[in-house]
Amino acid sequence: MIAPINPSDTAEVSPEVRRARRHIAGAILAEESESAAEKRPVPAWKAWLFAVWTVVVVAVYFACMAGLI
Amino acid sequence: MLYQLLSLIAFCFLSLAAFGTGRPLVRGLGIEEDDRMSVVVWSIALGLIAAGTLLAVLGLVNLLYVPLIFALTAVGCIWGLWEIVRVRLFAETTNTAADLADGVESYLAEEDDISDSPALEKPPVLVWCLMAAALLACVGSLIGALAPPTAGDALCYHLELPKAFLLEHKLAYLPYNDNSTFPLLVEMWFMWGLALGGGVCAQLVHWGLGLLLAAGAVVLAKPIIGDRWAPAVGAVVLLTPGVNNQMTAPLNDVALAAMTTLALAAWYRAVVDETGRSWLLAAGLAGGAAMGTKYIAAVFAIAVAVTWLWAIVRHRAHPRRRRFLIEAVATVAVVAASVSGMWYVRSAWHRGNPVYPFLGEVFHAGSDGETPTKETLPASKSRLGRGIDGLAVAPWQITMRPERFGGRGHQLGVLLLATLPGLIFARRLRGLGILLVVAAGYFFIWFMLRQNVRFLFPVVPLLAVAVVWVWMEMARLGRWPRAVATTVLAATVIAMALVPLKRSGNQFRVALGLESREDYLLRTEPAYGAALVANIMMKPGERVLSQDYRAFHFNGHVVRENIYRREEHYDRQVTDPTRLSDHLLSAGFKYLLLAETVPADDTRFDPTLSRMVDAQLRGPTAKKIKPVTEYFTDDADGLTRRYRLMMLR
Repeated sequence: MIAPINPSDTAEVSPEVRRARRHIAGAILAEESESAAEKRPVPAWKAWLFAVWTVVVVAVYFACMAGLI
Repeated sequence: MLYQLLSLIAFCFLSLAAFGTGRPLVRGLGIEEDDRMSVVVWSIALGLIAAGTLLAVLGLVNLLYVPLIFALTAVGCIWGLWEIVRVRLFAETTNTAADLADGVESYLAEEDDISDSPALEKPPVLVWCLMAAALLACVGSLIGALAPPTAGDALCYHLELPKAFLLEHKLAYLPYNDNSTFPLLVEMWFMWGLALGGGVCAQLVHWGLGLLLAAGAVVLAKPIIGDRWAPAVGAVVLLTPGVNNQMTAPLNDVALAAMTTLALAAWYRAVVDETGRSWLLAAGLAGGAAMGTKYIAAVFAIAVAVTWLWAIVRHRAHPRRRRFLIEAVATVAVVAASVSGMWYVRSAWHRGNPVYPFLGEVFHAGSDGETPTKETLPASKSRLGRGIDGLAVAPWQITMRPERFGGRGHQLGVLLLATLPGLIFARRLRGLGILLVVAAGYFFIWFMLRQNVRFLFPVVPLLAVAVVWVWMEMARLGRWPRAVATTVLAATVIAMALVPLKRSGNQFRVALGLESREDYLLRTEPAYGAALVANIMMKPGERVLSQDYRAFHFNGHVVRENIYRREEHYDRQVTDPTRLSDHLLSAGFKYLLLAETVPADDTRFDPTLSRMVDAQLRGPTAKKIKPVTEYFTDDADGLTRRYRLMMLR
């Protein structure tokens, strides 16, 4: 029979210790990779394609609404 | 100004009563979330569904009396107030108990957790700006909603039917009104507004449903893009020109979108987030409300079913998960059918067709037994055809040429088309794919059925989530392309916020009480002059046969001439022109409202009745038709209309 492991008494852990644990875990685990993904720039051609698309679509739309096209 | 205040107060009482009715339901179903907004949204939505269903039941048992509706509303308001007070009392006692029981240390530990929670982080500045823009747009639509109703469909049936039901004190079957056997849950809410505060209050109900739609979009978005950015989704929905414009009129597309959005939000929580099976009941109730609002809700149900089938296929190796998915859809379907079923049974009972006047090819061969009453899929409703090429250009066409697809007033605006291609650089986001698949499925079926842009409102909140995600991801664009795209999109948002304000210029004076409602209607509603005269002359029980469908402002019963002619063929029965008035009098009509365009080459009004009346007026029995009033009025599109009110004797 496997003896159950006693649960740790979290109530005795102070908020400072818990915050420190979170910092360490964040430094070791996936925090950095997520952050890196957020900062990874979009390839320039895609970025410019999108920017030009918005300009063209919005310009044509307002021209249509104004009756110019 | 007094009338405006009374309408607003009546609307507030109605909203409070809906909240009071729905709050116990939310508690009973166990779908209380941590954030207060979700609780309020679900309380009002479920309260409206319960109240609308109750009004329909009262209508079925001939108990639609205004004093009774007032009394029930008062009970709902008192309960709503009690719920608000109770929450405050409960919050205070809980805090005290927590302090006493857990001690200062545990309290501080909890504080520490909460302060670290991203849920409590304030929205970014951009989100605040979007909400400010949405607020401006809402002010514009509120001004429009405070003016007396003049929208054609509203005067034809969205308000006309509730008026007729209140006159009859029952959910009467009106054989000469094709719309009277539609699903009418929203019309029950309008009837509630009519009973409490007249047409403007009923109109405010739809404005409020626009807010509910936006709030529902936020509720839908929260588990997907997080609490900080979710309010931006609501703002995008409110800035959609068609949505904002329809908030000024008592129609039903915004209400439909609100209910489909809430149904999907509940479905997501139950099936994707697995936060509890109770959400399936909420999904069924909201889905049933959508089915009780408009037939096209079935298209949304089919689109959601596609994702459900896909999930079943994906989980073929997990029998427990598959069983849960099957139980989930069965639960939602049963609850939804319970809420909406009465409208379809009622239609089948009276018309022999549960979805009258559609699918006449299947259920009913029409009144003459030869041809269907109405073609279900007419080519005129598919301006792009039904081919792959039409489908490919559809997003561009409905954005740039909305007048070809139901009118500019219902358009989706340019934000969706301008932003959604940004998904090519956005990272994958859990949950967004489901929304996009549902939206794509709905769009495809919409394209194959009826290409009207207002029928696309149910996918606006779904696509708005994707729009906001692209905006979030724009932080990863290079400096200059980001600046260009941001500038263009910001200018668009500002324009979308200002257009409703500009549009409401015509209603500004009447909304503030600087112009009387009567003067406003005489200025803007072509049939109102005739209605004013008729309301003075008509006795209870007398009926008007009208060539114009704008009937709401008449206090008595109005029958549409084109439907009456289609059903009774009176024009064929009256072979002697001098006998027309006798024939119509014996059929129960006391007044005729003749509407013609000048010159008469426009086909807006069928001239059959006008010609027959003129024929009798030229003969020996002319005195049997007495002209009561006659006037000309100019339409917004430049046409001149001639109205004549005639009394039969």
